[in-house]
Amino acid sequence: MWYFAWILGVLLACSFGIINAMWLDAEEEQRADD
Amino acid sequence: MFDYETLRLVWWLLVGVLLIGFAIADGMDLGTAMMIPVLGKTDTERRVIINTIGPHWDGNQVWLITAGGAIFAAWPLVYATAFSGFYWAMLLVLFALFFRPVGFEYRSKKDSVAWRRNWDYALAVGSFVPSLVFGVAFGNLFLGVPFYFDEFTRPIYTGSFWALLNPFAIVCGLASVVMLALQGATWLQMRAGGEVQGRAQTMATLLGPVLTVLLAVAGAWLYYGIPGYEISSTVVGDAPSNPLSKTVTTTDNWFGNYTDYPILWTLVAASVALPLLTSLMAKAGKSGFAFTLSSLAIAAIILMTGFTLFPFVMPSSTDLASALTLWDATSSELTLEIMFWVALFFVPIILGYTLWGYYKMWRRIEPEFIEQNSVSNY
Amino acid sequence: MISESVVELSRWQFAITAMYHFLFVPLTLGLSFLLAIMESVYVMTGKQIYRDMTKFWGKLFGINFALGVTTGLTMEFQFGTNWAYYSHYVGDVFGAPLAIEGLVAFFLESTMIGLFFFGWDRLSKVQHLAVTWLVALGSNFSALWILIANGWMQNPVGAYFNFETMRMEMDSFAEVLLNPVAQVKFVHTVSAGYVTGAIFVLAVSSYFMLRNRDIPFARRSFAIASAFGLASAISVIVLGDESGYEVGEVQKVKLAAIEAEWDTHPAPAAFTVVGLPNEETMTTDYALKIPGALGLIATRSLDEEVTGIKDLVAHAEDRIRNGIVAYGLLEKLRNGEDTPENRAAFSKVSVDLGYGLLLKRYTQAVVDATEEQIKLAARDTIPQVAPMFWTFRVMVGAGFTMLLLFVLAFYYTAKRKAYQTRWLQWFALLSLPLPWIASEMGWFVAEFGRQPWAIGEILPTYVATSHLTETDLWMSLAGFIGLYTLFLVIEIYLMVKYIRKGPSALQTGRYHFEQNTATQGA
Repeated sequence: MWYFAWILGVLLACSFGIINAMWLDAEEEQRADD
Repeated sequence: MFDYETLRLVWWLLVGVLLIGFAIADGMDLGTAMMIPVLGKTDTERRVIINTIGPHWDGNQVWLITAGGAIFAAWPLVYATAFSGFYWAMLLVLFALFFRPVGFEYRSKKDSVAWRRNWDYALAVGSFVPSLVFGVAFGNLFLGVPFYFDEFTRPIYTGSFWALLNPFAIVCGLASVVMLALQGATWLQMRAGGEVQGRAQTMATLLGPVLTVLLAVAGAWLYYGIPGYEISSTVVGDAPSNPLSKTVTTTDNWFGNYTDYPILWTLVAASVALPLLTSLMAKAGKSGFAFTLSSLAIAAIILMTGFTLFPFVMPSSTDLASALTLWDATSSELTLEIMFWVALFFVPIILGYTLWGYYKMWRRIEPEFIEQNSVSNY
Repeated sequence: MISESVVELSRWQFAITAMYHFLFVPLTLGLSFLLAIMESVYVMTGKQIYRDMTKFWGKLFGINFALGVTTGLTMEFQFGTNWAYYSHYVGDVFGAPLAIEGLVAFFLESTMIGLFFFGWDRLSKVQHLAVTWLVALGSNFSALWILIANGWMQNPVGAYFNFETMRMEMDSFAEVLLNPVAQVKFVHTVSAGYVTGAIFVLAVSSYFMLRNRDIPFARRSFAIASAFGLASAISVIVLGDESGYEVGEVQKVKLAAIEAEWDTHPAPAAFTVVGLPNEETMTTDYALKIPGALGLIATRSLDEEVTGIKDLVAHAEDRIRNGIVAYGLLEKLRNGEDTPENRAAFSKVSVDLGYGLLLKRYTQAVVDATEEQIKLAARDTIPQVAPMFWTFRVMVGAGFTMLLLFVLAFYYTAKRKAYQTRWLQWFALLSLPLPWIASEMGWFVAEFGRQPWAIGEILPTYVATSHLTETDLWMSLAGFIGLYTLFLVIEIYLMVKYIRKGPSALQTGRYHFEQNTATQGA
């Protein structure tokens, strides 16, 4: 059932993108605090 | 749930609903955009006009696309015959429509007088031409279209593009243009600010009577001068879709349905009266009422057209039996049923979020607003 | 008799307008999700820069979207205008997903896109975010229904031929919906769209970095695109492989043409990496082969054979002979000999009716076809091998190059070195054309590989056209090419203009060209 795989896959890819951006931001903030 | 015959009737109504939806919603922005050079004198005024429909034209245009898709799914023979027979008319519509998405999106992306003026005209022509051609096409349906089917049901069109542009069809085309322009003018009166509002009011006041006159001319012409068609064999509502299994004869005129069902004259009365009432309301400055009445006028005019042709969808003038009717040009029972449920479920949802969109974007677009938000507006 | 040149020109017109349409679609599919990601981060963190990112990439999205809509209109019209017999013959099945696409997907996408652009000050933060997600979902649902329709052209399940109406009619909507070809094609196609969006953002961000402008803006865009793109690129390749497997199951001819498998070899078949397919001798010259690999990819087994072209032609010949019988019975049924015997006999052979119709290219009297004509029609069932072989390999090459780019981009982003690594930025910038090349090649493989059929093994392309003249076609083709060229020039001009300006185009006062010091923004 590939339609189902799509739902999971697209959620995963989007979360991956969101997390990567927030990780970058979190690290920059930490560096600014130091 | 329904039998085949009922489903066929329901789909005739649903196509009507989609066409009415198209003419009310997309008609509003077709009518608005065709008047850009007429009602807007300065760049800001033209942007006021464009931005009243900015958030909505794209969604509205889907009524046309969906109506096309629904005709493909529910009446494949009509889709095949009309689109290929009216080849150049359809391409003309298509080429004209091309200029709308690009026009709206690109017009204000460059600060140049010539660039913007060219896009303004492109938008106007791109909106005028489809409005005209749709009316011309409907006019030709009353006259009958020269086509027949070969032994394997391949539609063969024997007319020419230029034959479509006959006087009766042109009157219908003009009526269509004026009908949509009236819709656009009442919209602008309601949603545009500054000078544009007053000009739109004048336009809305003028166009109602013009539409009534055009409809009266077309109606009288149809009554006195144009023969109609009727099915002369017994109609079997649940037979397989094969247009060639019936016979058709010509009649004196298209008003047979009106003799059988005099109630239909109310549609004629509404089609003639509503444009006049629209103009009265516009003149009185009640733009909300004017827009509502104009929308009702559109619904009445399209219903009148449909009921006059009923049960024909596309009569043939050269091989009478090839005429496509709502009984013998449809999809299979299963397809009609599935599509019925899909439409029943999704049309209310579409109306819901469309109205939410209008509600959220509701405001009068003033020239100052355009100047202050130059970057984010069209 | 249908004129050969009308068929040729109709095919050219469809190919040109469809491929042109698909220049814009994949970017819409991918960029819409990237916008949703950016705005989600904005709503979660409240950082202004993510709002600006959504708006700036949204502007580029809009420039692209306008042409997507424009060229999509053509697709909706063109089945009727140029493929009237097709529309009649399969409208009962094929029309349904197209109509549903309008009702379910395109309405949503188009209504929400208006609110996306104009609703920033009219909607709450969360409402606007929801609108952005709905744009992405709408555009992807749109692709879903279109690919269900397209999947049915490749593998027409859930339908039967009705001789009374002279067309295909649906007997199972669920089968049409769950068509395995439609499923893998959908996921493969939308993932390719995500890759396109990600490469676009990656390349343009790299351009900003190379110019040393708006670095915080570019870095964040780059980070999002590299993660989203990496996940997508892996899925395109995995699903492309799955797609190959499905093709091997239902479209043996297409597979054989892609792989230039002239003969059926003992299992497992070797995979030809490169070589020069030769139609004359039916061999591949200078072939470089990996033993056993094709058998593994196409059948997922070591003992199943991959049928070669020569055997497929012989098989087609048998089916054409059956098709002649079907055609003869159909003529009887439609000409007053509608007897139970004829119906029963027809239902046995009606699956091969399409093969009988292949003969229409050579003779109107299908039942009296000569041996020579049958041989010609059987040979027609194989698409030209060389174009299939090469376009497929270009697509795969581009796909793996992009995967490599994403792996590197993700790695260097994680190491926080991406914005100092010049060669990586150049790699990303120069990769910009790759997703488009891969998409166009992919569609070529899918649709050229479907030939000679409009609907696989049901309706030959040759009989599917409208009754038009050569002049009609030349003129409309000229119209399309002229207008489309004009639009493309304008589109690229505006894209370049806005990319050059970068986020300064938003006129927020926070970016490069609006700073007096002119070094760095935000």
